[in-house]
Amino acid sequence: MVAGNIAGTKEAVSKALTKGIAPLDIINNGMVAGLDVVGEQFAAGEMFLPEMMLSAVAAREGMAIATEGIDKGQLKPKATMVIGTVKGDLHDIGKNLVALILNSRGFDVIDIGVDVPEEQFVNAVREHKPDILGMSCLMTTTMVGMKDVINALIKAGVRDKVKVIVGGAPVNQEFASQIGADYYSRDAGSTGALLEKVVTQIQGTR
Amino acid sequence: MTPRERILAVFNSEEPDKIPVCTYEAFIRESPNWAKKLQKRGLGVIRHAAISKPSSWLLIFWQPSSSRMDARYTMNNYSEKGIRKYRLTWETPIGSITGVLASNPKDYSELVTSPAPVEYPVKNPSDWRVINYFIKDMLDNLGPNYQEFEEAEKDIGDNGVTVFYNHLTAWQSAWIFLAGPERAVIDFHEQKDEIQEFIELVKLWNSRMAEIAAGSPAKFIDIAENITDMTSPTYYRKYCLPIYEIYSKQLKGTDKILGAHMDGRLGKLKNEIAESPLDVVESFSLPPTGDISLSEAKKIWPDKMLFMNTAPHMAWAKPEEVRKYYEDIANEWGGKKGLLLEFSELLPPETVEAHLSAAMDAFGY
Repeated sequence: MVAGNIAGTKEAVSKALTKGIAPLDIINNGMVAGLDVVGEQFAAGEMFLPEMMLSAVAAREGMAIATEGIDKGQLKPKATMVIGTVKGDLHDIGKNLVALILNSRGFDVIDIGVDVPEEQFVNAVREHKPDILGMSCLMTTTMVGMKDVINALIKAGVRDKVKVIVGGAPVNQEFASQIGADYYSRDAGSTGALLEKVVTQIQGTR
Repeated sequence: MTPRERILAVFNSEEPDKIPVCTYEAFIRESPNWAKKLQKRGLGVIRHAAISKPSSWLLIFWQPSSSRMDARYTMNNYSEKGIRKYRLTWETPIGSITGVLASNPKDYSELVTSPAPVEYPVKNPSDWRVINYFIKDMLDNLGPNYQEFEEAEKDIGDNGVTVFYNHLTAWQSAWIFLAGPERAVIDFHEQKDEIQEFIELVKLWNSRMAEIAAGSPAKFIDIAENITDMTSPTYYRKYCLPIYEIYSKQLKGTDKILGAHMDGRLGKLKNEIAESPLDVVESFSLPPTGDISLSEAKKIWPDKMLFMNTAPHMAWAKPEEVRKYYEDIANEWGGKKGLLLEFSELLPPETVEAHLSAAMDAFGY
């Protein structure tokens, strides 16, 4: 799975199930451990985005086989995240990468799409009660929409219910701080590790 | 110096009187008023023109109005939630594929429209066969045609230069325009026959285009790569560098320069770019958009020219801050050779004139 061998991962998971290894053991001791290796290699600059993406696809496919026969109640997601590209912006590559990587790490990711107006972000927060809200954009003209979303969250009285993370080519830490986002991630690859830490912090405060 | 002389001085590794400040012509085509005042002060214009017919298999794939092929297409324009979209279906004897392009509602429509795929045409590995058919069909008709380029050069005169803006290499076109990141990453990893043929066809296309470019009036051959995080060192070595080598060999002995549009974070590729035969890193982006400073770029790529993108993170800064930003850049670069500032990626329309004006102030216009 670390090497991005999708067919090999599926086969290995199927074999493990045939041998009677419990699905949760396969996930926690096999796949999650593998994804930790992927995260470490990425952070160390030994693995890059396309290779990481391939590992994430392999994990997703393996996970689907591992979880086929088990009670979904046992599979509590690490956290729930609502993610979308802000109003006026149709770019979805970065958003989709983040969703894929977080999904493979056991997050429940609710993708609300592209060109999402602020009220739709607010409604999604109300409906899904996520731990994290992620916003993406690719253009300097649409990045200001992130501030509109945060203002709308404040106005709706739900800003303190969710951690907000922003990313996208024109966005930087300074901008994230200016608009009142909690976190900024410079690329899809490092978002997974960052949000793992965020989730640990959130759970520590509950 | 005229804007043209200034830009050509950089192309020729000579010292211009001022660091050229330019805009892609596409950004002033539909709304030229903002640029007129700046052109009087010396703003240069970089126009892109074709040197062959058909011009580019990828461009014609998505904009098939001028196609002359056996493959047939249907195009359906429509609007969805206020967004302009068009659905394109290509039908070939070996199958059909469909994709959808959409224009971003806030994508600077008054400057230029740059539609992006919202439905990729390659959804299954077998769809590459249709793409391959399409490229083969176009390859059969590919030949030099310098008329458009020569007319563009004549028309632009002293205001700027015309550049041959070539389309992307195989991996870049696959993940950006044809299959999307996930499908592309899987298919390029699995390397089934269809994808190997696609890679070979793109190589063949570029071999022919390199011959055409070598005999063309274009001084600067620019490959529109859009390199960013989705291109790892392995992918860059495998799919980009071999194509650059093809051009470099063909252009040897001519006075032409070769570049690639690389506006993303290039830190992980700095060694590969250093080893590449590229003369120009085009649309080079400084931090925070990019991740290599001007000083570092100068150090690691001493033989390369930088055509630097205007800074999007300064889009909303005050004119005096923008001016200071570019004054610092001029000081950091420490000369006028080998550097050109270009409006090559989009700034918010209402900020462009003031931004470029401040940059021109900083560079002594």
